Amino acid sequence: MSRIGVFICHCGENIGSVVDCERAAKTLASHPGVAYSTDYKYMCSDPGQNLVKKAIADHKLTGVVVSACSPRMHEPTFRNAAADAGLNPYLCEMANIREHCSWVHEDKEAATRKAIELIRLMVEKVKANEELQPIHVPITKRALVIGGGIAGIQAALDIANAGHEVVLVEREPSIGGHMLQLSETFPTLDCSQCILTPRMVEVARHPKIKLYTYSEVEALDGYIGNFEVTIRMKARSVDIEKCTGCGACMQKCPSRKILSEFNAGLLVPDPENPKKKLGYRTAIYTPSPQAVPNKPVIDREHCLYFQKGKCGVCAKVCPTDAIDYTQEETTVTEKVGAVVVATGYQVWSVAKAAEDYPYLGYGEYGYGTHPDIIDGLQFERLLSASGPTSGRVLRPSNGKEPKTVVFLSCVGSRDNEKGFTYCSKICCMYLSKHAMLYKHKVHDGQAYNFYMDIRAGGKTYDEFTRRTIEEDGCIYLRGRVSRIFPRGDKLVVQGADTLSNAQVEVEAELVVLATAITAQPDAEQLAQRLRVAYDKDRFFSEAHPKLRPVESQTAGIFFAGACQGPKDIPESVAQASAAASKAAGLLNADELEREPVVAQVHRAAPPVYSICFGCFFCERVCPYGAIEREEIRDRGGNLIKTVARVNEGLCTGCGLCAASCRANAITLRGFNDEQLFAVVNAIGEEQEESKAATP
Amino acid sequence: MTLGYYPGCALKAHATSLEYGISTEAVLAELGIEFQEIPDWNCCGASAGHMTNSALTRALNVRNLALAEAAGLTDVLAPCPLCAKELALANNEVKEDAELLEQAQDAAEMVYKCTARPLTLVQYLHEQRDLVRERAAGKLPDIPVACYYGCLHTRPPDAMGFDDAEQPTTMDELCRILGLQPVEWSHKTECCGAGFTMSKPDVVARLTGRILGAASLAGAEAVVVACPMCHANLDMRQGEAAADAGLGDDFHMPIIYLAQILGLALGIAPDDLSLGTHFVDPSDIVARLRGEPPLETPGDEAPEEK
Repeated sequence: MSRIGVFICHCGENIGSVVDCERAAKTLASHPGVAYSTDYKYMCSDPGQNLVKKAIADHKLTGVVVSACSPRMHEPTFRNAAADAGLNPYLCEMANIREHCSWVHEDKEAATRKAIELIRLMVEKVKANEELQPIHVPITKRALVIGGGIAGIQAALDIANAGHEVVLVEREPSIGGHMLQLSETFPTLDCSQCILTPRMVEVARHPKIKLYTYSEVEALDGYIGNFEVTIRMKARSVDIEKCTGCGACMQKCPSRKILSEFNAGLLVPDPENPKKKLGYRTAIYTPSPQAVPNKPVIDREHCLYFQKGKCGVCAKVCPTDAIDYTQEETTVTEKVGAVVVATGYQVWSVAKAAEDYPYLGYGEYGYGTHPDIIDGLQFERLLSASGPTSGRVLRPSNGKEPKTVVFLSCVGSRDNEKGFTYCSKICCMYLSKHAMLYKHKVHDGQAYNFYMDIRAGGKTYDEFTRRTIEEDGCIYLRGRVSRIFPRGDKLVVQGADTLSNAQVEVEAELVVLATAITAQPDAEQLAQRLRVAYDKDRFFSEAHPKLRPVESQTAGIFFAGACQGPKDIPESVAQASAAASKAAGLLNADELEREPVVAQVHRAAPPVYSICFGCFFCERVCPYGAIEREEIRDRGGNLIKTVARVNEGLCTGCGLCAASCRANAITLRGFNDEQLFAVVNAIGEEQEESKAATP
Repeated sequence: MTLGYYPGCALKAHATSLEYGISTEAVLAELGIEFQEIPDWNCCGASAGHMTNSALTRALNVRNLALAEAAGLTDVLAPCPLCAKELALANNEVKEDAELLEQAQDAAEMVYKCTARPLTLVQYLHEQRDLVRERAAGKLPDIPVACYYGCLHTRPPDAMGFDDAEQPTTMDELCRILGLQPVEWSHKTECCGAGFTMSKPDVVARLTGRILGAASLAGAEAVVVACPMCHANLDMRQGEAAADAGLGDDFHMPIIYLAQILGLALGIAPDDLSLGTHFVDPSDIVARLRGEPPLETPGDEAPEEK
C-alpha cells in the first residue's frame, strides 16, 4: 500500500494568488494512497524542506509529490531532501503548478481544479515509481581544449595548474588566436602581444600541457569522463623536433607575395619605396615573429617545390635538416575526461554576399573594391607594432598618412534585413579605441564615427569612449551610412546624422568597417562532431543562459570565449576560467555519479535473450550516439543475434529511443510504460473528485 | 509557354516612354519569344494609388494578375519597374494572407489562384541570358557604359527577391554578354527624383546631376536604363543637372533603354527601336554601337619599358 506525501507550495504569491492551495491540500488528503497532504508558503525554504523530511519520517511515506514550480528549478532540491530523510530520491516527483498553471491562468476556480488534477496525476505516477540507483562511471583525468586563442590558452593553463593534464589543439601553425593580431586593448591600452605572449610561452613550457598546433579535431567519441578524441595533424613539412626556429628558410624563400592571414590580407605600399608592398608572407612561414611554437610550416598551395617541383631552397639553407617535403598528414587519438571548446570567431566578410545568405552583404560600402576601405581587424594590423607598417597608420592605396578616417559601427550587426540580428558587442569599444589610437599617431587627423548606439557597458568602458570624444575629438555621428564611393583619391561617405536631422557627407582618406563578429564558418560541423547545440547564428548554445553559462547540453563539454557568442578579452578570459574550473571540478572526482534516468534495452534469460530484434532505429534517432551494438552469443561462441545496448554514460534520458522502438524493447527508467499509463488513466477521474470537494 | 506582357501606362497609354514599349516588343519578337498583352489590363496604381489606398492598389494589381491567369499566362513581364513592384508586392501579400486575397478578389470581381509571376525586363532577360548569349553575344563593341538600375529594380528586396539590393550586377552581366564594357560605379541605385520631376524640378536636377556626374566620372559614354521614370529624369534635365553639379553646361550623356541596346545587338534598325525620340541625341553612340563609322581598332599595346 502506498503512503504518498503531498506538499503544495504557495511560492509566495506566485501560486497562492491564483490556486487555492489549502483546498488543494484538503482535496488530495482524501485521495487513495495519500497518507499526508499539506500546503506551505515557501516549500523550497529550509523550514519547507524540513517539513518534507519530517513528514517522511513521521508518516513513513513511500513517495513524495511536491507541487510547486518546474522540476528544472527545484527537483534536485527536493530529491536531496527526500534522500536526507532516507527515501530513495527517485520516489520524489514534482507537479508543476506554477509555470503550467498559476502563471498562465487567471480564473481561480478553474486553476485550482487544474492544479488538483496535475497533483493527482503525479501521485499516480509516484505510486508506480521504483527505486533507482545512481550510475557510476570512471573518469580519465585529462582535459581536451579545442582552440588556442586567449580563451583556450587561459582554460588550458587553469586546468593544468589545477594539476590535470591538458591536450590543447590549435588548427593554425601557432597558438595566440585573434588576440595576437590586435594592437592595444581597451580600456587600458595594454599592448595585446605584451600581455599575451608570456601566456603563450607558458603554455608551451607547461609540463602538463600537450600542444598540437596545425591540427584539427576530427572526431570525438565516448562520453563524459571517457572521451576519445581523434586529432588530425596536418602536414607541416617541417620536422618540429629538428627545427630550431632560426628563420633562415623564411628569409630565403622565393615565394614572397602571399597574402598573410596574420595581417588579415592587408597590404600597404612601403613609404620609402612605393612600388614595394608591405604585408606579404612567404610560403614557408610562421604567422608572427612571436609564434608558439616558433617553427614554420610550408603552405603547399603557394610553395614552388610543391607546385612546380623545383626550388627546394629552404631544404638547402636549413642548418638542421628539418625540412621534410614527404611529411604526410597523421592522426592520433587521445583519451580525455572533459572537453573545453574555445574555437573563437571570425570577422564577417562583407565583400560579397555569402553563398548561404543570398542578396546580403554591403556592396554599397565598397569593401574589396577599394584598398582604402578596410575592416576592423585590418586596422588593428595597421596600428600594431608587428603589422606591415610597424604601427604607422598609412593608406593602403598610396602609403600616405590619412588625415580623415571614418569608422562605421554595426556593419552587419543588429541588421535584420541584411546581416545578423545580434549585437557584436565589441565593436563600439574597439572603434572608440581605434579613433583614440589614430589620434595619438596622427595629431592633425580627424576621426568620425557613425554609430547606432554607443554600447560601452563594462568597467571603465564608458569613461573610455567619453575620452575618445572629449579629449581626442572624434566626431560621433548617430546614423547609418548609405553609400561609400571614390571621388578623386578620396572616399565619399554619405550618411545621416539623425541627431541634427541632416544628411552628412564626409570626404575620407580611410574608411574602417566594424563588420559583424560571426561564428567560425565550420562551427556547425564541429558542433555536430561534438554533439553540442548551436543557435541560428551558429554560436554554440550553453545549457542555461544564466545559471549554466559555460556548460553545453552534453555532459563533460564546456564552452569558453567567442564560440558561444561575441565577447571581448576580459569576458573570454573569465569564461575560460569558469569553464576550466568546471572541467577541473569534474576531473577531481575519481568516479562520476550520473542520473539513473536512462534508457534500458530489454534483456531476458535464454532462449529469449532480448525482445530487441536489432532494427537499430534507435541508433538513428539517438541525438547523443548512446546506442551501441551488442552481439549475443551462446556458450559455443555462435552469434545468436545483435541487439541494441545503451551506453549509460552517454544517455541523457531524452526517451526518443523508447518512443520509437517498434518492439517496445526499450524502457526509459523513471518514465516506464506503467508509470505513464498510471498518469494517463488518472486523467478525467479527477473531475468527479474535484467537484465533490467544491464547497 | 506564352509570356504575359503588361505594358502599363508609360509604355502604352501615353507617350512618355513609348520607345521603351516599342523596343521591348521588337526585341521579344526578334528573339522569337511568344508574348501576349494581358487583355483589358488596368492601371497598376503606382504613385497616386499606393499613396492613398493600399487596398485599392492591391485590388488593381490582383485584377491584372487574375486576368493574366485567366488567359493562361504565368510569367508576366512588366518592363516598367514601378508596375513590376506593384504587381510583385500585391502578389506576395495575397499569397501570404488569405484575408487580403479575398478582399482583393471581391473588389476586382475576379478569382485569383496566385499562379502568376511578375518580372521586370532585367529579371526576365537575365533568366533568358542563355538565349541572349546565343543570339547576341559580343555583337556590340566594348564601349564603356554605366548600368543604372534606379530605386525599384531590386527594391523592396523582400518583394523583388532579385539581385543585390544595393549593388546589383545583373544588367551589367547582360551588357557584358553583348560585348559592352559596363563600368564599376557608385550610383547604380541612387534616387533619380522620380515623380518629383513635376513638383520639385530643382531637387530632381540635383539628384540626376549626381548620378550623371558619377557616371561620367567612371568613364561611361552612355547610361543604360530600364525604367521610364529614370529615363525621363536623366534624359530631360541634363542642362540643369550639369549646372547644379558644377560640371559645365551640359552632360550630353545619351540615355538608352536596355531593350534598345539589346535591339541594336540583335541587328534591329534604330528607327524600329524608336531611337530618334530622346532629348539627348544618341545618334553618335548608336552609330558606334552599330559599327559605323568603322570602329577604331584598339591601339597596339604600349611598348614595355626596358
